[in-house]
Amino acid sequence: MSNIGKFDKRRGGGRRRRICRFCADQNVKVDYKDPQGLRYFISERGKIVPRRISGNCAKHQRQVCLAIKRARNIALMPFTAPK
Amino acid sequence: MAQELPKHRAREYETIFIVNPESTSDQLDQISGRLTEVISRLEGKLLRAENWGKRRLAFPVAKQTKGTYIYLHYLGYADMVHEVERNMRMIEPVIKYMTVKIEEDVNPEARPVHEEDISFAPLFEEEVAEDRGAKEHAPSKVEASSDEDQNEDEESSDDEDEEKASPKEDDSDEDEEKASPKEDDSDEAEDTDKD
Ligand SMILES: [Zn+2]
Repeated sequence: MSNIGKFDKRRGGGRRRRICRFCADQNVKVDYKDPQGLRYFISERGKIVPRRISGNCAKHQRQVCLAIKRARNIALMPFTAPK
Repeated sequence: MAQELPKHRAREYETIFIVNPESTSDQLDQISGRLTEVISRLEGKLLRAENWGKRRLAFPVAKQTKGTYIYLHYLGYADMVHEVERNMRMIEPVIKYMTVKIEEDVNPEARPVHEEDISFAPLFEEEVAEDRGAKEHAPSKVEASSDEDQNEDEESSDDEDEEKASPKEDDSDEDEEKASPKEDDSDEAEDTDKD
């Protein structure tokens, strides 16, 4: 409950996200033109991170998936492990 | 309802294409001019044109590791994408392109054109652009661990914390993966690969 005050803080790494970041902040849009924003949703090998890890809700996971696939199509993101 | 009059309702598209990085700025101008001409000839409306500069490609395309990205945002009617892409196939320095349909049904009157938006002006410095590309796969770990609080509870996370690949990522039905560069025909995206 008291966590609300820390809403905008960054957390240490490696933890599973429980709340969909796109639901939490309506201003953040899923955009295939923004590989920097999408890079949080691919693994180091370039694979799409599953929802249970990323914490995305189903709706936003679909959008993220589509965005990553579009970004891949125009070489903004890799299909596979970058060297 | 009245029948749909084609000129009253347009479709909204975005096309991104990659030009061979060795192209001169004259060549780029020529390509931009040609596509602008195609769009206006078909009575479309160019809303935005950006030059994203030379960026590192996430994978080699036509043996290039870098490419100049150009972004077009426009309204069009039937055949617009077909014609734009047909032209792009004929423009030799264009090594890849992709068109995405944004909206099915747009009133062109509601989308004024601003001259400064369609100038093909470089969006950012090329160095920066390349940097951004290069950092794409830098471990997010660095950012995530370097700053702010270590104390955390999972509940409140709307933050930037890092994603890690699960060791078992393969079994998720959320991540459908394809290894081929020729992929993905979603209904909304009209995607095309050039050689
Ligand atoms: Zn969500």
